[in-house]
Amino acid sequence: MRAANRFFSGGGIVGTMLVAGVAIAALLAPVVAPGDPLALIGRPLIEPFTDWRFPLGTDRLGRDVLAELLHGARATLIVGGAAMLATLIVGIVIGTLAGFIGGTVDEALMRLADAFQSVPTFILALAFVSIAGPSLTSVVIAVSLGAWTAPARVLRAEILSLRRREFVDAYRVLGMAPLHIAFREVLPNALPPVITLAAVIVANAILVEAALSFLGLGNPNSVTWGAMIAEGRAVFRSAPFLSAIPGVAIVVTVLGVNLLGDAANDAINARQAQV
Amino acid sequence: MTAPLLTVENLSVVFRQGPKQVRAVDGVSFTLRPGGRLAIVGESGSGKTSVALALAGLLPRRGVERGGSIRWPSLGNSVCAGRDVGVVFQDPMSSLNPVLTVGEQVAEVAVTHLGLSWDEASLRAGELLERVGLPQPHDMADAYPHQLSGGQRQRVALAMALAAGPKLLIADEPTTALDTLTQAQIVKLLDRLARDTRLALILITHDLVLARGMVETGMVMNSGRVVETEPIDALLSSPRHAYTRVLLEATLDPDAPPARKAKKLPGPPLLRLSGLRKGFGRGVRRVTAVDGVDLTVMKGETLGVVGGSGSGKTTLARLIVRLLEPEAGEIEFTGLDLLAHRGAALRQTRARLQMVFQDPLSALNPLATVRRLLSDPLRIHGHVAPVDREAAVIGLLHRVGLSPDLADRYPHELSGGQRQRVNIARALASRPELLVLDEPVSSLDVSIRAQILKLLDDIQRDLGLSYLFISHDISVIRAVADRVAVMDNGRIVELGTADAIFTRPSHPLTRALIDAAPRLHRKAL
Repeated sequence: MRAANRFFSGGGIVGTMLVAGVAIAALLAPVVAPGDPLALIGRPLIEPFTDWRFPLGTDRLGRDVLAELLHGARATLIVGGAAMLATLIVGIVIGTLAGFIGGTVDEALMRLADAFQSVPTFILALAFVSIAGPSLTSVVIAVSLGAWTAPARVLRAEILSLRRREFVDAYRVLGMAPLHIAFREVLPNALPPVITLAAVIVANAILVEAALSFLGLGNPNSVTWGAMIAEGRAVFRSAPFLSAIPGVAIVVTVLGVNLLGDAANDAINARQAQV
Repeated sequence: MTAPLLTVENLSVVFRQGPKQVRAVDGVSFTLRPGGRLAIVGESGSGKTSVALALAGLLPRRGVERGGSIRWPSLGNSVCAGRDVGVVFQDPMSSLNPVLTVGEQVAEVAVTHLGLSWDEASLRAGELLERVGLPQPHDMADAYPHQLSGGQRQRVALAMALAAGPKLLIADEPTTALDTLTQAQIVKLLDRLARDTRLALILITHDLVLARGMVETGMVMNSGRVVETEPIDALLSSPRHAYTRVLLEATLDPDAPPARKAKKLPGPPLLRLSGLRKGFGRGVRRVTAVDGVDLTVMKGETLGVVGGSGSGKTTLARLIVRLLEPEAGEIEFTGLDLLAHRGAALRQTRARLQMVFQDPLSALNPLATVRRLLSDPLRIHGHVAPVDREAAVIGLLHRVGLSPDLADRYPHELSGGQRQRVNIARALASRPELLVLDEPVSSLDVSIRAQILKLLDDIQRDLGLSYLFISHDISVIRAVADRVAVMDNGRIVELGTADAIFTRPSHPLTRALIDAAPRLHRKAL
């Protein structure tokens, strides 16, 4: 089967639709809900679907839940995307160097990875944000700190096996610089399994960000879904929708990203089977 | 007249992948009597392996359509692969299980197919390992596949194939992965085993010469069809079909006079190695792969280096092109001390000293087009201005006999011969003076091999290049070399002009290599 066909089958379509939906919500946030989503603009605790001005109701302080949800989608996607980029860059550089250079460099980098992996990811993130203070950058760094080891290890293993192929020797005999061989010629051959990891990283980043925000360690200047859940917690018995709506949004996003990742994985496998 | 063992009628095998379909086998018919011996001879893509897989019932279930009939009249038509048909494949390493001892693997077959207890089966395994000629078979039974040599592994694979007492043995290129000496031993062993047990044999091979002496009948295949089926001697002495003649003409005769008369070459040597040494591992496990090698290569000559696997040929090649650092010794190239070169100076020298690798596919980056592969050396060495690079790439493709249309192809879209031509073109791109050729034709079909050898010869004549040509195949060396060095255990055991080496070999290994080479005609003794 063609790689493209493999991608757009079942889960791939659903995943694409879910992620596209969240992305459109994030893009349309300033249009549908202009102004500051944290502004107090209505009576507090309006139930959803009862007032047409606030379709999803208002929270304890009279903020529009729909506006918060749409702007929260932005924050979520930005954190997920930025954390994925940062994680992949660090993981790819460290994995490639460890696999290609080998020896002491490999040992040192892999022991470093062991050290990071021996601390639970979330504790690491929590510790970092509580020291560095909550901000978008610190949340992204906090997520990447725990996540970079996965792509680094996968990539190192791939590079180790590719390094034995004769084409690497052929490039060396041609006089090509080792770093050029490693990053321009060998690395692209090793990327497919790492690309499928990207989805897992995004999903994980969204969850960690939500958890940090829930604990009040998210970016204080933007609305986030985790903070919305925390906010609704106080009135959970009388107004459960305040926590449930952002909770469903997180589930849908993470599900969509994971489905997309699985589909990408299948498509890449199908493509490699052809080659 | 007894019933035939096997009757194949109008066999066809079609592989389907999406809208594409490949007719690998097309209307193949033959019969085999009990104890009969047949060679299916063909090049890659001829469908010979698909026939073997169909006979053994090993074709994949999905995406394959089989037509025609395969019947076993004397076996009652309930045939079981492994019990009634034993199969030996080309690569003994990948057909053995790396986590079981070889004794366990042989015994397992007897347990599965003969219903023996493990104790009985272990005894039988010991006998089988002895029959396939493993030294100290009872100690060997406890060894793991990676502890054995290639030839020993192939013997174990043979013992497994024979463990259930099959009526037919299918051997698919059983000696292709082995060096000449081991190859001759395995051929002798197959012959003896088949004779002793009245075992029928189907030998799948690309090598007509190998088939001679082992089988009665030769069946030549080309693109899925049978070209001709004849008694093997008739096939070799008076081939009727043009394709068989092409195969025969491409075969190298180890008894022909050496292709080249040694020339008197003036001047200082282009490459001079002295006391070169390199080992791997430490302590008791240390292996000295290259042990004090002295050699010279003159300008314009081809120095052939021949030896069995593990003799250190490839390590020697890698030392010369500085992929490995020697522990001791000197490499002098055009009068310069090569080992003293670092950085930019080394890069400059590298342009003049290139290598062509053994596996043409593995030596090409799978994600680079031919154009990019050939532009790399031009860019690195900067001797061609960027605007002229496209023309230079086209020129290189012409030089190695490839169409410029191939410039946008990826390596997996090329045939084996085209890939090796790209490898040669890439090595030529930096305008070298010396090419180190490490088994450049050993993975190619015979007809392609002849073309590549011709190409290398033309290039040498036109450009005045020197070659250091490494091969395990003495017939190839005879066809290309001016002078020959015979290597064993990391040392040069004999060195001389091709004429002297082939007419008056003095070292026992040289004589053994020459004697073991497969021959088209029986050697006059």
